[in-house]
Order: sequence, then structure tokens, then C-alpha cells
Amino acid sequence: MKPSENIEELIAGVRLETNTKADKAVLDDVLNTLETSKNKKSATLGPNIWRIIMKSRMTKLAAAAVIIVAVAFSINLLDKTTAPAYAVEQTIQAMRSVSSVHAYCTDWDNSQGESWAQINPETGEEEYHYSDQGNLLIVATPEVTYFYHKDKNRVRIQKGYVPASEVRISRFFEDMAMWVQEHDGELEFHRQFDEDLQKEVIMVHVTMSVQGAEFIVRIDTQTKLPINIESIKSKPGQGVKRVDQLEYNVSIPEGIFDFEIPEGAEIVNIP
Amino acid sequence: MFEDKLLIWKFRRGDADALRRIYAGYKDDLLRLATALLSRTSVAEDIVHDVFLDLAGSREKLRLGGNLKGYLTICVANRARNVNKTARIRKSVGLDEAQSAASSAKRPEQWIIYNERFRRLNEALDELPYEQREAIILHLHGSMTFKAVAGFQAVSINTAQSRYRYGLEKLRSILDSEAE
Repeated sequence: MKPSENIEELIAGVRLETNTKADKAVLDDVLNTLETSKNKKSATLGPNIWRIIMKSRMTKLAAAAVIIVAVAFSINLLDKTTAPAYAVEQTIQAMRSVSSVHAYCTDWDNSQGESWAQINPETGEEEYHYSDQGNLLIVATPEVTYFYHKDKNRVRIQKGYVPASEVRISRFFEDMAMWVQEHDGELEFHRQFDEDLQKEVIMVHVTMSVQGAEFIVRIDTQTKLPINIESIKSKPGQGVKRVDQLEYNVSIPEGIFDFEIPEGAEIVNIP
Repeated sequence: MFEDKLLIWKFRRGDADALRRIYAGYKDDLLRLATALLSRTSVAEDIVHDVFLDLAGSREKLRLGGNLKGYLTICVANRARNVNKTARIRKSVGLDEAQSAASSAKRPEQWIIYNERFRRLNEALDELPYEQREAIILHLHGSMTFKAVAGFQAVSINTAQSRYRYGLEKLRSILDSEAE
């Protein structure tokens, strides 16, 4: 080594080559192992775990929480590299106190949007909802829901409240467990350091094999509330690409749920 | 990072192409890491081979986020440490040096093609206490922070940094004396 040479650069910069025949032989061996493992049935994961959900709504919710906890706990037991157990009932509890949600979203066409929802903490049901995403503005109240297509200056009106999603935001995990079960899906929990958020989060990977949807929910380890939701795979009508940021129990801007039909707009009543 | 996450999820669902990509993307770095930690090429090759076999066989139990490289680095480092411990015990009781890792699979021929520079560097690394060698290699080849190295070695960050610094000084002195 030359005296002037930087020892760290020397070590970091050293490269090696591999024999391509051996590369292929090892890869074949590894792929064979994968094939063998695919034939073995998983003891800890799989849709069959959801079949034990009970019939009544109350027992359904209780069973869902128990199952989620059981799955998360078994995962933590299996995975020695994760931090101590994340208790999903903390998220369930934290979400039950949510009375309003503010979300920033990105859709599949990369349009940016914003949503507000007012929630009844007793029932978890949304009472009012506002979503402004790309060309579509939705305002939903208990009496009527407006869909305003800005590019066409058309307002579609439907009587009653049309919910923003298939799950109640403040009962997100409870409803999602049912949803996942109904769609033959999986929920997986693990803890990781998120490079984008620069902090540790609980990551929940949701897969719906029947619907072909797949998304990730990141949960704040301190507040126990979801921070964002990201679709990995989706189909038209299955929601936005990303909920970039979620805020809870924020003040809702006055008058945001008072929709006024724009001048000259075409009105379409939905039966 | 995001690509790694997708790769992991696809792999967990048994996607062979995802596993091929993981293998192609990380095998060279892992072989370099294992060889730098152990010097003995055949043992290093077996360790990396075994790490990939374990990965393929335990996809459903795999729990990690996007940091696939970090996970594989730790797998290799753990096995290298075990082999090193076994070698020390065998030496202390007068037995032969450690046998290779668990792999019983045979490759057609040597996997790593050694170059002279790498060989000389590894000979020098072989003269360091294992803890110093490990701190240097995990930081420089495994891209681990000192905090992560300290966690892996179960010591304070200061100790991990000292091991790294003393190791580098000794390495420099060995390589400089060879050049004279």
C-alpha cells in the first residue's frame, strides 16, 4: 500500500468477481428451496385464520381484535429482530376517540387532493365528508351527497349519505379485519424504520386476493394512529393511490360541508 | 428502498423472479462481506449460499421492511461470527480449524474469483482481532452506521468506533510495512 492511500477507500473500493457457473448453480439451489417451501402450508399466516370470525357484529368486532392481536403477537414471537410487541388494541383504542380527520391524498393520475370527515365517536360513523381530488369534488351530508365533476361542470346528486370508504375511519382496523376476511385477504404487521418519515413505524400490509388490492398502512408508534396509507396494487374505483398524511381531531373549516351548486352546472339526480 | 419493499412482498408470495433479483442484486456484496470477515473463501461461499437457502426456505416468516441489504448483512455477519467462534474453540483445544458452515450443497467449482488486491487486504485483516475486523467490515462493506455496529456487537457506540479506529491503524501499519 502506498502511504498516501486512504485505508477506508481501499477497503470500501475493493471488488471481487464470481464464477458464472457457480452463480447459476447456487441460484438453482435457492430456487429449488423456494419451490419446496411453497408446497408447505403456512402454520401462522393465511386466510383460514379469518374463518373463525363470529356472526354478530359485536362478537365480530371483538373477534377481529383478538385475531389481529394473535397474528401480530405470533409475528413478534417469530421475528427476533423486531422491537417488543406492538399492541394493536392501542390503535383500536386511539382511533375510537377520533372525531374528525383531515387527509392529503395523491391519486393515480398524480393529482393532489384534500379530504375532511366529521365522525361520530360513539358509532364511528362518518356524518359529513368533503373530498376535493383532481376533477372530482364530493360533499356528503346526512341528507344528500353531491359529486361535482369540475371538468364537465356537472353535479350528480344522491339522496342520503354516501360514505367515503368501505371502512369507518375511526374503526379502521376493526372494519378492515372484516373486509379482509370477506375478501380472502391477509393482514401482516411488522416494525421498521421508515426512511421517508425518518422514524420507526408499525407497517401493516393488507392484501385482498379476491379484489386484487394491496396496500400498506403506516402507524405512528407513539400516537398509535395511522400516519399514511399507500396502495401498492389497485383497480379503478378502489380509491386513491396514496393518503399522504392523516391528521386527527382537527378543527374543520367552517362551511366546508355546505355545497353550492355552481352556476350553469348540469344537474343529474342519481336514483 | 421502495423497490426493495415490493421485491420483498413479491418474494414472500413465492415469486421466483423476485428471488432471482434479490440474488443478483446482493450476492456479490454478501460474498465480499463474508470473505472480508473470514478470509477463508470456501467458508465465506458456504455462508452466503446458506443465507440465500435460508431466505428461500423461510419466506413466510420473513419480517422486514425495505432494508433488505441490512437484513442480509446481519445474516451473513451472524454466521461469520459463529464460524469464527467455532474456529477459536477448536484451536484452543488443539483440533483442526473450523469446518465450513452448514451448507452441504456442492457447487461445481470455486464461486469467488480472487484478485491480488483483495487477497492482500484479507491477509492483513486476518491479523486483526475479530471485533476490530468486524467493526471495520460491517461499517465499510455492510454500510452499517456505528450505532448499528455497536448494537450488533452489544457494546457502546464509543467502543465500536474505537474498535474501528484501532483496527484501521493496525491495518495501515501492516499494509505500509508490506509496501516498504
